[in-house]
Amino acid sequence: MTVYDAMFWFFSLALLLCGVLVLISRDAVASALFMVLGFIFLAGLYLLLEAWFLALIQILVYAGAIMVLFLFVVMLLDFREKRRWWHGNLLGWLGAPLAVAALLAALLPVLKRAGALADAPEKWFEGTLENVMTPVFTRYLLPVEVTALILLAATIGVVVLGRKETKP
Amino acid sequence: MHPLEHFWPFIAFGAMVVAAIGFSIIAVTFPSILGPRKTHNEIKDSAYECGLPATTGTPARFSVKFYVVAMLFILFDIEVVFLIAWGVLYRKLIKPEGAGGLGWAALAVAVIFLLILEAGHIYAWRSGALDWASWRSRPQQEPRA
Amino acid sequence: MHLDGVILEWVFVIVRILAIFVITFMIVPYTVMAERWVCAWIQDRIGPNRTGWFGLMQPWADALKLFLKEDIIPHHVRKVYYVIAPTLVFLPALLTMALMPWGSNLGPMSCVLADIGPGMLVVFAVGACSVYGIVLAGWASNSKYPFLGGVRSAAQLISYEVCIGLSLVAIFMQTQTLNLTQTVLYQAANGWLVWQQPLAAFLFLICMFAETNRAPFDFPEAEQELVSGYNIEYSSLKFGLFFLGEYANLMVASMLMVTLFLGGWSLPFAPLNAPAQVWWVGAAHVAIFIAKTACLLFLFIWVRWTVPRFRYDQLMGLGWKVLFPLALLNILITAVVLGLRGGA
Repeated sequence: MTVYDAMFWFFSLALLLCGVLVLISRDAVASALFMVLGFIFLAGLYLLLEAWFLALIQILVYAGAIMVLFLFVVMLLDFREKRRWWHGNLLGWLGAPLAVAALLAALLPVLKRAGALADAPEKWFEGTLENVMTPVFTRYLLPVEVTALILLAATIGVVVLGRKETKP
Repeated sequence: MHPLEHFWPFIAFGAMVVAAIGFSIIAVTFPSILGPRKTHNEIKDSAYECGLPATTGTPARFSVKFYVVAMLFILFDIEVVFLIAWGVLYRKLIKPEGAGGLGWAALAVAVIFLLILEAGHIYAWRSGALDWASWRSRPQQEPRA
Repeated sequence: MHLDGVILEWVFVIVRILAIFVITFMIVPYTVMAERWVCAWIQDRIGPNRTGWFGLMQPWADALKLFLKEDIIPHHVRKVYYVIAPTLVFLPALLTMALMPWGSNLGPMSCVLADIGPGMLVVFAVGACSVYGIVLAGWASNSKYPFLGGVRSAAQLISYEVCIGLSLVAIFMQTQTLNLTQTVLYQAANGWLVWQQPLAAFLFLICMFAETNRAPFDFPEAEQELVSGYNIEYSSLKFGLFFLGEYANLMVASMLMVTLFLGGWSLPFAPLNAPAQVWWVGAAHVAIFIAKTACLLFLFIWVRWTVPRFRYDQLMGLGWKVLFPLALLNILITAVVLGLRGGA
């Protein structure tokens, strides 16, 4: 086992552990923090794939922005009630395996090709900012502007939802 | 492919993470070893209010404005990420089409992107989501009818 | 990479980590000291002058005192979060130091611990995570002033992070890199970026005042309203870590400003405008970097004791309604100028 493999196993197992802890923590804040930790280990996996840009952006956006919002919401709603993870409802118990099955079905074609991809080192792609983002700003211009539209819709949504209800 | 050479800066960064966490653990645990023995009494264990025994508890909830700001932050953070990437590549993209660039289209991409997002910014601004102190639910002139 | 090379690299890593700790723990206590001296001078007082020579040992005496104080963990706090929160305030500053080019090179050793390609992204990512320490400290204290201080501070930090990113986009457009070392080299060759991008420098400086919770934006610890903000319920070295973290963040903010806008370790004449070939130039680069940082630290202190505090709504308004559009304007101006020059 090389250092590279050891790092891979360390990050993957730590990521899985964090995922499990997100689910079984009694405290919503603990769940949120384990998720942040999970994002950091996920960034480690991206780094091993030499996807530098993705790894750092992922931490910046998910750990730095989205999870802050999660924490705010958890504190805003002030969950005093602590529930054990098995106290879910029936829908959750039925839905979770279905979701996992659907995800696996979607991933299966990729997993089948994984062996072939690993044996093709000449296709190695270094995920620098230049390599990743140059096509975005040259070939995929429409998706970029559509992203802007999605962000616009979200902005309007936030402002509308954040308003106080006015009494008639 | 020589992975280790590629990863060297990150390994060094990881070493710094370990050192910094080690320092933090020392800093958090040392005083409980070096300091005087812990004693407890009612005043010490109560939440600080003004020196006298506290009369009210922690506010359980806070203003929804914080949530709005956090959400707006996410959205504009994504904008910033796009702009950073665009900014780094800009000098290559702006080169004339013959020289491997896009010409002025490179600027147009960002201008359109920014105009769309600026519409959201101005909407939030006009509807008062960015006014911290006097944020009313709707513009105040509304109930004129 | 030969084995010898690997061992040498590890030796360099350890030396540089130690150097970072030494730099941090020399600059931070004396920034506190300088703060008290400058404050006393501005207010026409004497200031601390008893401990050691001219009061020079005062910060160490304070640190020792914090070490030896009773470590109170009140019953009403959320204990685990309460203990980790102060470390999360201090960690980001220390981790950002790992990316800082605090010199060109000393002999065969480069002065950047982790010369990561897109270094500024790491700085942004680490900086974004510094919100957690403050939010958690406020929430874990389970007490009203810390809670309000923590939430306020978090909203302030995230609002100004957007402006930091936007103000720096103009820099990246000029240097075409996110690497801090390359940015310094660009400035050594083409002149300091503060002359080419004065608006970006000004916006970045204002944002740094907000990010470090310094006056005129020191809302988390607005003494008159929140007593001391998110750290009231803390004692002994846990309080000390908040204090240390605050000044370490100040130091890192100054260093970032120096690296991005004020030429880093370079001075605009030979032999100081290129990476060092001989050891004494390398040493001079470190000295120049620290001297520039010290000047900026003085600026931060001077402003704190001169300018009164804003109102919170003014702060949020300034971030979202003034700095944000100005930064966008600056990006567009830079883009047009660079475009007219054909990207050259």
